[in-house]
Amino acid sequence: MEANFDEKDSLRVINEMIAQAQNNFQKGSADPTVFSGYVVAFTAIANFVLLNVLERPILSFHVWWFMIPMVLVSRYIGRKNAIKAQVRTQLERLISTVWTAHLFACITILLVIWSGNRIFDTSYFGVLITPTILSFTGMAQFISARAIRIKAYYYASFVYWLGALGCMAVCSVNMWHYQFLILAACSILGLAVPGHVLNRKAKKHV
Amino acid sequence: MFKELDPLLHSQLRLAVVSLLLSVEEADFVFIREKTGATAGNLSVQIDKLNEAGYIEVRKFIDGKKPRTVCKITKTGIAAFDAYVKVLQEYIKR
Repeated sequence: MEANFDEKDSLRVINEMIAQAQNNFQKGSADPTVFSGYVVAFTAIANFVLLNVLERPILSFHVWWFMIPMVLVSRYIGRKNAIKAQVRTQLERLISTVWTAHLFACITILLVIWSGNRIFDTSYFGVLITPTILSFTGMAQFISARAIRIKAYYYASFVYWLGALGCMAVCSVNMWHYQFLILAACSILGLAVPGHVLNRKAKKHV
Repeated sequence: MFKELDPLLHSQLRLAVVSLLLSVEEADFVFIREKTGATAGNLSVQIDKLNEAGYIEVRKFIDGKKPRTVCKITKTGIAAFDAYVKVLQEYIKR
């Protein structure tokens, strides 16, 4: 035992170390979300443009196959950063789990809407895809905001939820294809921008 | 006075390491050294002691060309820390 190390010193050390560990995120921990934000925005804009220029506009939706390599690359970036990280927190694991759940929720809703269209022999349910995914993403960002206590993430969740309502508003005036521009804006403001904020914070603290 | 306190934890640096690891999932040796302000040699010795006691897990590997040491608290370490804090609370209440 060290001489002169009493109970007050013990408490001080514990408090100091817990405070040191707080708000520590690995450098580049938001890289996967920043990457995904820009790729989704680019894909949504591509979909909007192709809808207006292709002779068979329905073919424009095939750009969304691009999401499969995007998810794989995003996961690869996250794993690579995790290996190099000086510290990995429980919060980062929680947020990663939230995004995994988000991915499964999005796949489920796509299957539900596709099935609905088949069962009722319609394509109208398709307009619900973007607002539903925006709502899910808003929820994921809100949970992240609560966990990491960064205001930009709270704003991001409201951007997504407003975007979801905006998608239905453009549908009501028969301009449903503008959903893709709303999606692009939400992806940049609600995913890429808060990601940059978190990365800047991580760079400062670690 | 501190007879009941775990002697392995009742050391400034070892307690700092365990408190730090308790707050994160895992941390690199460099991170722990920066946050505790300890020297590499002293930290290495204390980490070995905690590892031998089963309080922390130490993983050594090569990342590219750099050797890395990553530490993680174990269930034994968490239980020991809990017990240490309980005893500490009793001392403070007196």
